[in-house]
Amino acid sequence: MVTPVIETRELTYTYPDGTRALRGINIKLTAGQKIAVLGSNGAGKSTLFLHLNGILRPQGGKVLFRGSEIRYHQRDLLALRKNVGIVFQDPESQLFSASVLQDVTFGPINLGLPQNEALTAAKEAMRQTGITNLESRPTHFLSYGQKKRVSIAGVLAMEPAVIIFDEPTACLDPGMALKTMALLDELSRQGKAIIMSTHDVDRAYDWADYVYLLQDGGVIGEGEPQHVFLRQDWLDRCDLKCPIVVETYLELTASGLLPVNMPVPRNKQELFQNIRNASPASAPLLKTVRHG
Amino acid sequence: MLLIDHYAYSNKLSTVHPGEKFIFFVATVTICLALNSLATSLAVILLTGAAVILLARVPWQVYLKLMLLPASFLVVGVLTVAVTFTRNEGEFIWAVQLGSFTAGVTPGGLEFAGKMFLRSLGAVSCLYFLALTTPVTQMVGVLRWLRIPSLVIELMVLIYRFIFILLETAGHIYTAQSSRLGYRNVRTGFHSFSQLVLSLFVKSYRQSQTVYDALLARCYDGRLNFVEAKYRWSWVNIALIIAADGALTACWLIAGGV
Ligand SMILES: Nc1ncnc2c1ncn2[C@@H]1O[C@H](COP(=O)(O)OP(=O)(O)OP(=O)(O)O)[C@@H](O)[C@H]1O
Ligand SMILES: [Mg+2]
Repeated sequence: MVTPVIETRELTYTYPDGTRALRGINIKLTAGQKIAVLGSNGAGKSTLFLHLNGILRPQGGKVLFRGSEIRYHQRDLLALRKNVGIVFQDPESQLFSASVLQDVTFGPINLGLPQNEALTAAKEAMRQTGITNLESRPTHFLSYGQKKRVSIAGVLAMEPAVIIFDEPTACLDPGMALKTMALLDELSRQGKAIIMSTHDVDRAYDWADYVYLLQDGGVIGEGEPQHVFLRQDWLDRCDLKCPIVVETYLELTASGLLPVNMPVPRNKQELFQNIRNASPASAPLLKTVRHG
Repeated sequence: MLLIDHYAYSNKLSTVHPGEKFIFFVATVTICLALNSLATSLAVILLTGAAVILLARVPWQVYLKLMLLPASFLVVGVLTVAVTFTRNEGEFIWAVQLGSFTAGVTPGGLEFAGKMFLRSLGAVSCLYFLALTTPVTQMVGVLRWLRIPSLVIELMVLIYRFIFILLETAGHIYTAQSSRLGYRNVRTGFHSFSQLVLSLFVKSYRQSQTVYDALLARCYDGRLNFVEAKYRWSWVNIALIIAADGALTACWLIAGGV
């Protein structure tokens, strides 16, 4: 079995004001994996993420990086943070430099790269996030979505092995959201492990290959999306709705239009294909409608 | 503050080497302060004004408004210098008798006040030139080049950023309050304002903590390292600066130090 890049065991954390944010969390992430973390507001997603990068120190349980436990000395932490990048939920908290270029190069320079290499890395990250034209703009005159992309670029430029995205598509326009998701796919193809939190079940269903459902600081369900999103009881506990693909599939099998033993389609395209295959009589009809 | 910052980034001189702008600033402000003369001060004001409006293309209305601000302060300050109180007879241009005192304006006092006013305004206009054409990011480069301790520079960068966070947060809170009638009359106004101050403090504190966390997440080790954009010195500009400041000094010599 492959060693997970990051793993948490029985992680617990209580904020100084007594809020019990995490109550024994176990998650695992291997290279190239795409994980979605879902849960209602205040479920503990952001708190969990802050542990994966060593910002918060667990009060119980442990975090393992490449199989070895993190010991929270300076050296361990630095090694962890080099390899695990986190894009914060609120870009405001991540941007602090006066100009976009400076902010994106901040991480690479901290890694010890010489100026010209840091610049190259930053330029590449800015190209990937589509913010090359914002290069010399001051960070405080950017729109929210632009700030979000700058904060993503700031992490990409460090080329970490694991990237954590806390609600990457919140407040982005639909086009930009799609581009961001495509970027996440591209990163995972490069072999990076990616964790994303989101409230968008359709997006999570399409994108993830493993899903964790968080509620009240605990994992109440996990598994492959086709499995997790069929568990209406889990979804109810997290106040999540069923992804539209799964809902349509359930409706079609229930009404006999699709065979009951058919596996759950992975995405919209698969669902449409299934519909076309299942009703051979209507297939040419569909085609004529398209062409007409 | 915000207005100046806006033009600092968008003006037509923003791509010029910050060192050149800094040298122009230092040379001109030195001339203005050292050669205490009406003509020179006036020339400095016109020169920097022309540079800001014609070269940097900052709208003249904006520049005028910005200049009026310190000018109004200066007028008040200079008035007290212009007016002389005395028991003795003297040549007054204009005077009132207050008991055994005479309060009035003497030609000497007037000249002194005029000189002081224009000299201060000249210095301010130089400062405006620098502030309106040089964004903070470039200033940092200049300060580094001047070997200012990095601690000071880092503080400056962070404070600069936090000022905007503070202003923005205050703006958000204010909007949120007034959209729910928080400022409909004096009483609710006072109440809202006190809440604004309090939550601004708490929020800024939280914000500064998360900013610190985010810094840590990107391997911050107690030193803020930045790349600096490379600018090229332009000999034409240097020549222009020497010519302009030379002309200022020459004018002063020819005018005989008036
Ligand atoms: N700095 C803090 N101090 C005290 N309590 C906190 C702090 N940050 C978060 N909490 C609390 O911890 C719990 C988990 O918060 P967290 O931010 O992890 O939720 P989340 O799942 O990210 O929610 P969202 O979807 O709204 O982003 C919440 O009850 C929250 O009120
Ligand atoms: Mg969150």
